[in-house]
Amino acid sequence: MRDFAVEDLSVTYGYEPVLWDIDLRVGSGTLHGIVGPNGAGKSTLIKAALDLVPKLTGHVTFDGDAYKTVYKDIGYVPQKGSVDWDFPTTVFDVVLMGRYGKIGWLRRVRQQDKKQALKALEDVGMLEYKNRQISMLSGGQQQRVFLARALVQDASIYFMDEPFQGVDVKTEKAIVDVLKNLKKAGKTVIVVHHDLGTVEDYFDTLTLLNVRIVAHGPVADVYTPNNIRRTYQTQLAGEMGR
Amino acid sequence: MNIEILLTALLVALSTSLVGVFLVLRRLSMIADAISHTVLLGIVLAFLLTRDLNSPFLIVGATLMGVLTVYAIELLIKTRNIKEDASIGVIFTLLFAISIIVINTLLRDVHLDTHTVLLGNLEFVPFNRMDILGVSLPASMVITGVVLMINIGFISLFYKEVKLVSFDTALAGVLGFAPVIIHYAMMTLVSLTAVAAFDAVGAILVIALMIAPPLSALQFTKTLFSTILLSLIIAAFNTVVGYAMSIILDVTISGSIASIALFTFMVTLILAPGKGILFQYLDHKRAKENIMIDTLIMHIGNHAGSIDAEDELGKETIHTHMRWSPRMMATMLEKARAKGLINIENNAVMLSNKGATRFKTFKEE
Amino acid sequence: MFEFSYTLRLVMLGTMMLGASAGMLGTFLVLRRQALIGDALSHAALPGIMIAYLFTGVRSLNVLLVGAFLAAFTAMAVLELIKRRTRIKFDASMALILSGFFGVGQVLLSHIQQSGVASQAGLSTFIFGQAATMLRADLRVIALISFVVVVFIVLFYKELKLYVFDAPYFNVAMRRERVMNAFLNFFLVLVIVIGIRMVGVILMSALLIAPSVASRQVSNRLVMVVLLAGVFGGVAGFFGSLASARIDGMPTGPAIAVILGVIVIVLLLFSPRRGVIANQIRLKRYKRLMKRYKPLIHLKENSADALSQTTLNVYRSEGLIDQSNHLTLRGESLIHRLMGGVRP
Repeated sequence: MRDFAVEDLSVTYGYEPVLWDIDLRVGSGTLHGIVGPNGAGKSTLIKAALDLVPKLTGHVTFDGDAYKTVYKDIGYVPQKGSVDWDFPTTVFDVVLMGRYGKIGWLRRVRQQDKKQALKALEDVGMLEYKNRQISMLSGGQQQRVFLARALVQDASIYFMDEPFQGVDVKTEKAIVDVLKNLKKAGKTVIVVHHDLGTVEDYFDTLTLLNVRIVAHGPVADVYTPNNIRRTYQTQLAGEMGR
Repeated sequence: MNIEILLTALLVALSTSLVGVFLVLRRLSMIADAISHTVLLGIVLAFLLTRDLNSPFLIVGATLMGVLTVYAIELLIKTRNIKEDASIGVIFTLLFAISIIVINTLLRDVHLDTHTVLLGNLEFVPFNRMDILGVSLPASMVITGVVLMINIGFISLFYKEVKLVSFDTALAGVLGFAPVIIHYAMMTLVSLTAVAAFDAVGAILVIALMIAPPLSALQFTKTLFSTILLSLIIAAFNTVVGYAMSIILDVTISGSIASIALFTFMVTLILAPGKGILFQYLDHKRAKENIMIDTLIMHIGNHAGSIDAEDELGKETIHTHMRWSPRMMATMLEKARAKGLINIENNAVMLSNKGATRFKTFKEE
Repeated sequence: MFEFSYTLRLVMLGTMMLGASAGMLGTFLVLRRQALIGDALSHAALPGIMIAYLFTGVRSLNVLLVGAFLAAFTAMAVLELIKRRTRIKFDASMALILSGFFGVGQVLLSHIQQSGVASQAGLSTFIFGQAATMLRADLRVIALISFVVVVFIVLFYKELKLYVFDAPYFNVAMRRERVMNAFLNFFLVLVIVIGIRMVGVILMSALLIAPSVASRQVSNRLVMVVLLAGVFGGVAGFFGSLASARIDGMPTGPAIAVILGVIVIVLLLFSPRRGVIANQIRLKRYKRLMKRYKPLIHLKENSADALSQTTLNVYRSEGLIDQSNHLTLRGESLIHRLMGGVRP
């Protein structure tokens, strides 16, 4: 069980800030959404948290610990497009990769890892596809595989980058169920999301992000027309000012 | 036939195709091409220092230069002023040109034959020998054998790590598997493998030996392990067939092996079940046919029993309503009948029981 | 130093024309992100040359070039087939075609050598080129092809520009993506074929890639990039052949390639607009300024409450804020520049 805290985080890309003055805290056992327009820095926020991009200022802690010391306890679901889906590997194999961090260098995959992978595949409703090559999956199925891979990491905090992107309605429901189960198990789940329509149903707390934090807190407080207008308007104003 | 030559060729083929699998999967094929050329500069520079053509430092220098090439290319890409392919082109031509100039100006009196380096010569393999534990063996055979062992050792030891880095570098980083270190370790192996293969097949053909077997294997396989295994088998097959061809036609051995490698790939490209071009074409055609037959069934089902049924479903007139050519219509009617979906009686097209059931399921959907 | 013999003048003219036309045409390849296709096609020409020789028994350049052209074009067709019909990675198929075709060429060559009609020199000429032995007739071929290529670029400049920038859009707007592709490839193969004669298969890539990479560092406008690529290619050709004539043992092709490589590296590093060094310095400065004025930006966006008195004093002494801790014009414009993507 871990909470997640960002203090004074700023990231620049080229000669522009992509994240500015970010302070936020997500309590453990929360399902948290990060919402904002394109180019708002949503993915960058996750990547900065996972040390995948350099920070200008600020730091990120997990229950007070730095990323480096607790990385084994952090699960990550990158955007689907980040890997080669033509790679010669099966669904089961990809899910097993999620166990590698726990297994460690040089040691082989154990029976218990395989059991966990099968369990995770069952949880996301992909068990019958376990021996299929990943190139033969639909977009929604690919996303479920990624989710299963994150589940077997058995982390206490999860970061997911647009897990609902390009998936069918059925998959979206399945993913939401998994997320809610994770929360029930006391995990912290942080999801980059861009469908405003579903925000209220999916998340407990919410960050509206557009380079800066526009609003942050329980969904009921944050998800107001005024806040949303502010999140999406600043972008327009910024672009027109250029 | 010379068993030493064949054995050396086999060792080269196995060691190159083993690293080749990862080159193909990680889109590093042209980087490997660059490496295989720039290692020449490493050999030249190491020779300038040691002045000994048999010094092991030549291999060390060459391997280092290969790794340095990768580093330089990545450095250029990082500037974001130049794309990957262009930066490969710039770096490898520059380093290669420098080595040719050095050979032609500073090393003119030395027997460092660019011809042999670039093209290799399996035929000469038995003439350059070394003693291992009192047994006289061709030097090339010993070196490629050692390199093959190193490759197998590394990949079986770090199989899990290498697989993860190849498939998802970001996750590998997040899970703490130092993707950069694994990447450079792999590039060192590629470089070493290319250098070891020089004597036998040269800088240009080594690429075919690296790339062709994995590309052929990938037409069939669905896991990394089976890809590696099948690549090795195909590599061995290419080598044996290529060697046989070179003897029968009395032509260069390395060229024959590379030609057969290309040929094997072209055959799998077209004929492989599933991914082959021919299979895809037939599959596409079949899918199109099925859709057309389904459309036909819908048409018949919708018009069966209606007032205009005689015209809409007449054997000679139906094509005008489907907007198909008479010939296409005839083919489709024939196919549908062969599948038992329709009957044709007295010039009228109608659904069979099977066809009617199919029509009902369409309706329900 | 500057008295040129007749042969040298021929060679210089030839390499200049080749460098210029390859550089200009190569610009479109590089922009299309297919820079290395030239490498694949030049290697793939070998079997064509051998087959042409086997069939005609003639060693004349023009006949062999026809063979090279046909082989390179076949290779191109195979590459296109693989690209359109399979999911095989393009770089891998390029590497394989490059090396596999070359292997076939070597088999044919060794067969020719078996029948005892050709000399060993054949393949070396092919790999390294042989600019120094150029004849007047060769120059004519080079001049003709270079001329045609330049005319093609001038006539179809608008189409080429759109095509390399956005091929799918080009297909919608002009409906002729495949034709354009075929044309570009046709001229590419032509240039490669004469290039092989001069600088050889391996270094042909340098002539196609390096000039436009260099010119791209200097200009952001396509016209200038194309023209300057021509200039860089020509200059490298001139000095490369000069170096080869004046320095004992210096081969022409590598000399040209090194000159081009050095131009690229120097411009990549030192170009004032996009150069790596200038960029690094600018980026460092930007990050330093951002860190330094982060509290100031915080003051503008939120309030001065969180700022220490020392920081406020520093900003005040720099004229960025006034006595009542409001931003001055100077402070406003500084923030505007820092947050607005303006390069410092």
